Amino acid sequence: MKEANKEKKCPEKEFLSLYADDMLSSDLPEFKHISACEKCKAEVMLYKKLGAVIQDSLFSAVPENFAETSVSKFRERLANEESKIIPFPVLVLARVASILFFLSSVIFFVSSLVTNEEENPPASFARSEDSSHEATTQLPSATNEKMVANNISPVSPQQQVSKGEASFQDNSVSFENMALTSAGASGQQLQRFSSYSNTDRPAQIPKIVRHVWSVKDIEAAKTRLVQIISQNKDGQENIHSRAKDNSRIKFALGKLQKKQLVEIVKQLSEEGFKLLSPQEPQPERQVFEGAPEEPVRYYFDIVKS
Amino acid sequence: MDVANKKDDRELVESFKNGCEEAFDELAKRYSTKMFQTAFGLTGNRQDAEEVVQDALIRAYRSLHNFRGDSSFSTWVFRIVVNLSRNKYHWNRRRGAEITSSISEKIKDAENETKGDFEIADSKFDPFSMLQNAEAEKNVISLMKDLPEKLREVLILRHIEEKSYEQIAEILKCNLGTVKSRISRAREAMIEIVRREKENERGK
Repeated sequence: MKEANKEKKCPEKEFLSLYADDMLSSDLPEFKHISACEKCKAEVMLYKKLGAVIQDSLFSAVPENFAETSVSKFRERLANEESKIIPFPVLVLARVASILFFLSSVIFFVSSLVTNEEENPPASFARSEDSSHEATTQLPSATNEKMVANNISPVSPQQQVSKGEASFQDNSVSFENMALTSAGASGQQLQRFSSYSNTDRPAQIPKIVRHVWSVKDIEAAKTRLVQIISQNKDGQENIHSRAKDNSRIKFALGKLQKKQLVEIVKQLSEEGFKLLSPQEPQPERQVFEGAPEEPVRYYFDIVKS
Repeated sequence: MDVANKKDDRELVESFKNGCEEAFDELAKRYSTKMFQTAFGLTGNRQDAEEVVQDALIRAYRSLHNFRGDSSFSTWVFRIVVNLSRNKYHWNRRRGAEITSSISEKIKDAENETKGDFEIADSKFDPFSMLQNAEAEKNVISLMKDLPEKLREVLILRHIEEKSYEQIAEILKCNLGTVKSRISRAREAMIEIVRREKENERGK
């Protein structure tokens, strides 16, 4: 019954396509239907005609003597390509030469940068880490000229600055400490600006610095803090503070110079204030970029630890 | 005949691997015409088809030493031709080669027909009558560009050397069922395209 129904109803077009390609089994009911149905036979005829037209088109499109000419063209092209192939040993030598050339250019570039830094160190100001040692060397004259240009007092030999002291006379930070002694207690001389250790590499102080300091006694800390700022900042002008609550006070300092900020941060640290935020300047930092008189705004909080 | 050819192909491949260059030339002569027809059907352009044949021969020449014989040489080389033709076709399309009509529009109409339910073909309307003139070969191949790539490929391969469904599945690396379905859809789509073209011609 089912087969009889299948025979009556026209099958799906995929069956017609298979029938046209002689791919449909003659045992199937679909085959029997298609063989007897005018509609289906007409469709199959269309498929076969399509196939014939495509075949004719493709056959007539082939150029004359294509097989022979394509082989000879292929051989010609093969010969051309093989003549361009570089022998392997030559290729290896060329590769090695190009690598060596690249390496030598890199080495040359790096060494020229290093030489350049030696002759023209970045405009920077620094504090000595251990200022109890005497200054034993004088900076190169080019460096001194740059310091003068940046309103930094040139280095003179054999100057000594006690720990914690800072001289702000003539608007100059005590650059007599600048990079004259090496870091650490060994007292070795710092030979070259370019040989910065990671801690000595010039750090950048942004135009706005935000710090958070942690203290044990907020009231005592506030008193001491104001004293330190006043010492470094020529008075108490432009010091704004706001107590959030008993555990936090916010401060804002305007009209501050970078060298003043550096000194304030150092002194706060020495007074037992603990710096929680990572932004420069950090208390242990030695060398900074830029001119010392560059303005900076300093916002900081002191919080109870 | 087919078996004898296959044997010959295998022998020629072995000879080439043993250093006989003429063996490759013989293989090239044997298949270059069919390769051209396949490439022409897929790219729609004679110049591109010639370039595809040359590229395919070069590639076959360079890779034949690594040919393991898992498939016949014919299947292997036609696979190369199909891949290169695809690349050429896509390259031309990216460069803004002309597309004669919207593919999706035509194929959507062809596929929207309910399976098993179709209008009887008008006995007076022969969509292929327009293809009986001198422009016929140009027209059908250019109309085939409107087919989606996968449908075009199966149709061309079916009518070149009348490749069996199994051979087509091997070349295109797909299932037999997929090939059957695609050939059926390709024919329907092509008939629809030709019908529309005929109506456009009449309208002019």
